[in-house]
Amino acid sequence: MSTEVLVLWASAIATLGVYTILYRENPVSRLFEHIFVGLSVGYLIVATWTLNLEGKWWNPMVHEGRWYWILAPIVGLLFYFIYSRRLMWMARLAMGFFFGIAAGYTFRQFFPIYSPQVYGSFKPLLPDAQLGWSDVILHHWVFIIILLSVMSYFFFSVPPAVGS
Amino acid sequence: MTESATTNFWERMQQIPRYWIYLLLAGVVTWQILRPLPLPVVPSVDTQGVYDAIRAVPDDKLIIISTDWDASTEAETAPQTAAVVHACFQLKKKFAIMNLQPPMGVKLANDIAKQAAKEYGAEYGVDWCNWGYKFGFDSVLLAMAKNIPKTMGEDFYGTPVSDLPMMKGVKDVNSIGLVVEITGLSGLTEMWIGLIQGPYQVPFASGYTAVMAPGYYPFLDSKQMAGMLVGAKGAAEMEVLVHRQDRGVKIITVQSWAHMLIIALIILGNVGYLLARRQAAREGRSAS
Repeated sequence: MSTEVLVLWASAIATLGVYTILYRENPVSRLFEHIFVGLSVGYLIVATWTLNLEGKWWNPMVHEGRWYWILAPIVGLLFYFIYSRRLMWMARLAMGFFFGIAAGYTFRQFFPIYSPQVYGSFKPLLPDAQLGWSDVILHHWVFIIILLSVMSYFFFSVPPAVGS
Repeated sequence: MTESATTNFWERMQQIPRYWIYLLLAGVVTWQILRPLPLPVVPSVDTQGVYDAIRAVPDDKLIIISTDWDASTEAETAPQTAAVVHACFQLKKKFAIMNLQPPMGVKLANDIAKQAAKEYGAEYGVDWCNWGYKFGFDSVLLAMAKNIPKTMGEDFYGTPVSDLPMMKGVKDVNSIGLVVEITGLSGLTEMWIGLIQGPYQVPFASGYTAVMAPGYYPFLDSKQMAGMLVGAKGAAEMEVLVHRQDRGVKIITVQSWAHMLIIALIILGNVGYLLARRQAAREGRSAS
């Protein structure tokens, strides 16, 4: 039996084994669930090292003389000061740094993502040379009514009064 | 209280144990895998958009196929990737596979491209290449826009990408004619559109799992996306366009029959509910 066939059989048995949960909780589905979780965690650890840390952090730091990469895990470890009341400010430094980066990225992406959709929502509501009444009503009017309904739902939703 | 036979039957129809339904579903799926009854697959406008976008790429530009998927969504995303790769080979467009997350996607897509390349006699590094998994999300895309060879570094096999013949002249985002992102993860499309498609006006098309596709229709409507493959159906439609009916068509055939069974069961359940209620009202009792 070739390796490929063996792999296919193993995949099929493992998949069906996990699906036995559909009948009821049982040791077979548990067994394959643990196998899947173990495999994926193992894969993630190896992949994180070989595809990321080794090439981008370890090799430059150890083999290419870029010693300053030693600072990267130090910044990462600052997060763990969250467990100390006295030194929590150090964790906040790291968080602030990454919040800043994330906010910058988000701000940069916001307009290219959403502004074309805002322009796209401006649709003609009267027929012209290319669009007949049926097209306008079926596509544009329905679109605008739903758009306004959804927007009004979210803008004018109010929390229920306490105790009501 | 006396219950009529009709009421009993319809009430029983609403209380079918769930494992009978699963068994019935498994039966239909097995039947369709062993003896498929194909249904017509007609390419939608969205799928046609992906194909047309590939065809419209100028010969001096590259297509990026970002395969951000792994085994968990492989049933839908692998046939989509295969169909897009076949379209590129058939239309003689050069493409580069890359991957932002999860890292397994780049290996699975590499196997698909290698297999397809054999059929067309395409050569690695000349007609297609694999830039590999690149960690860093936004940072990768921002850097890639300015300098592709430096950002990508080495390819999937450890060769510097600048050494590949097809990378000659490829400098920055201006060398890219289309990005096709195939993914089972939400959030990556927003990065591609926010950092590459929007600022640099690079055409963008996509392939998603069926469950996440509805959230991306606004991007089609606003023309930020040239086209979209929706789940296995999108893969099957793309296979029809490349005249190569394969796994996508097989999957959608099975899925369509399974959907028909579920629809029939929903109708049966609702009819049963209405009839049981009517019967109960006639007999002056509440339906179960």
